[in-house]
Amino acid sequence: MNAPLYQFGLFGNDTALLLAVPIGIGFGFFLEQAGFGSSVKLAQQFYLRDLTVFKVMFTAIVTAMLGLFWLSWIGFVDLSLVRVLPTYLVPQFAGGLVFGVGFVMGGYCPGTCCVAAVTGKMDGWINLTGMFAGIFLFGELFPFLEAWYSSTPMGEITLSQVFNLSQGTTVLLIVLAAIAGFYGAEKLEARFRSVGS
Amino acid sequence: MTILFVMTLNKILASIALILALLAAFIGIPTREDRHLKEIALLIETEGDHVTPLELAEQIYAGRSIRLIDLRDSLSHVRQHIVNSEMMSVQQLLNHGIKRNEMVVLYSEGGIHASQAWILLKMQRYDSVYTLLGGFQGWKEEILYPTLNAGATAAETQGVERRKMLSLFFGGEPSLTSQESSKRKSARQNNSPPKQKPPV
Amino acid sequence: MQTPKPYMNPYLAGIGLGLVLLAAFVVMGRGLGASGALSSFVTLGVNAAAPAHAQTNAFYREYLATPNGNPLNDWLVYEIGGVLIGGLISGLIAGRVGRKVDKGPRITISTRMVYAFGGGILMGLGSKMARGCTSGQALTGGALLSVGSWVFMIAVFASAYAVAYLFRRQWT
Repeated sequence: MNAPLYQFGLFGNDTALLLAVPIGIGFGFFLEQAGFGSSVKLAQQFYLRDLTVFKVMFTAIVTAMLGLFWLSWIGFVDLSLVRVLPTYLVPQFAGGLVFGVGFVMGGYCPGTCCVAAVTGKMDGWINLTGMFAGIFLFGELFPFLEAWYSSTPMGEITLSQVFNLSQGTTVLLIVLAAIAGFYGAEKLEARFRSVGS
Repeated sequence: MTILFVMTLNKILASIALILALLAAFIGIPTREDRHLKEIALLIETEGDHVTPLELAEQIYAGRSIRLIDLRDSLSHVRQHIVNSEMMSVQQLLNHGIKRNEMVVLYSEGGIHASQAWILLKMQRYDSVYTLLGGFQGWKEEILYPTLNAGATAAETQGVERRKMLSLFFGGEPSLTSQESSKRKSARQNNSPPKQKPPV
Repeated sequence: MQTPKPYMNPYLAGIGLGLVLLAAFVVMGRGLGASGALSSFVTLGVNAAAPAHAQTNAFYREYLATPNGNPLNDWLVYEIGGVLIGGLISGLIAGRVGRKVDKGPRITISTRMVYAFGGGILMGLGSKMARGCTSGQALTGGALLSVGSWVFMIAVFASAYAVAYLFRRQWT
């Protein structure tokens, strides 16, 4: 029982910052490898012609979720120290709606636009600039939004708690949904590809 | 051919995920509390749960950074406490009063409160928490106001000098007894030699 | 320019991403993020231009609260630096680095740029409203089974599919 390593005091803040770099390198590498440096590729997700975004995202979620579960079970990771993001239902739902429009309009998300920019995509740079503008706008509006931003707090609540299932059962349901989704995605892509050509 | 290979690879990956998820559903909760409880029980049995006053005094004297938590009420704390110890209620202690990676020694008047808090902290996986054997009472008897016997042999004398020095270091008042009574006491001590513990 | 190599099998890339995310959990007890780092840069700019203004705003103040008061002294900023390096390495290996505008043939470059900028503004706003983006909420919170993260994810896909028709000319 000695992970998360940072929480158990194995290293300090400066080392933590340095360790962020290789983790980020891995993150950026696999985003680019998946094809997420291209807005045309990313946007195809929303026209059902190429469901790579869905496949990569859910495979990553399933991998990390199963990994955490089993690392906790063998006693390596103390799950109580991996902080679950607190839920603010209404702002998060509304934020998702706004974000979704931005995603299909700009073609990138914050992480992928960094990868696009660094591989020379000019629309990636412009998208990044727009994001800075959007964050600045939010920051300036924050005094007026503050109350709404903190509304409907539900705390660090998980799907297991909401549906009153054990964590293992929740994990199983998500994995089943993901595999069914992958199967459907492959069928859908095959159909759209034959229709398109 | 390549497509066939990719398809089978994807199926293999899906199968692995499915097996891991099915086992996860069977297990339910990934924290094995029973095993953790066994570890705590083992610590208590092997006396890895406490430090003796003498061990604590030696460690502090050697300059090791130890966080001392006084669980007694504020009146007792103000009246007298171990140097550099801080007062905390059990609730404060559980509410992130201490860090997981620092050595913490808890003490109460007799030791019961500290032991109770120790179990609560151990359940939350604080690894380096110990209680002070005998509590503050034990500290007073062993360190602050010990009755030291002037030793017969050179080694004994050395030990006594060390105890005296430690007592004075912590602001205590050691009292030395005569040769006569010391013999009686050492005889009694020989019947129940102090338990040897590995250094903390 | 050489012909770019094909993209990685999406499931293998997903497992790679998942293991990186898992590494972040194991090493730091926290997940990945992107919009948080961008906010640090915005805060840096605001703080340089108008320090008093940044100090009175609770949003900027949060990003100023690093051990030395510099918003760039933050875990996510270093992580996003790594993302840039990692993306470049992968792009170079696969022969995909080069100055270009990614768009379909039916729109002009300036239209694409307007959309890219407008989309960026909405993503900036949306990610801050939701306390995170596809990295910090969908991936990280998704793996931790956080309710808000799953709600965010569903909302993103729902609204993107709902308005995708309006932007179809951009891509094909």
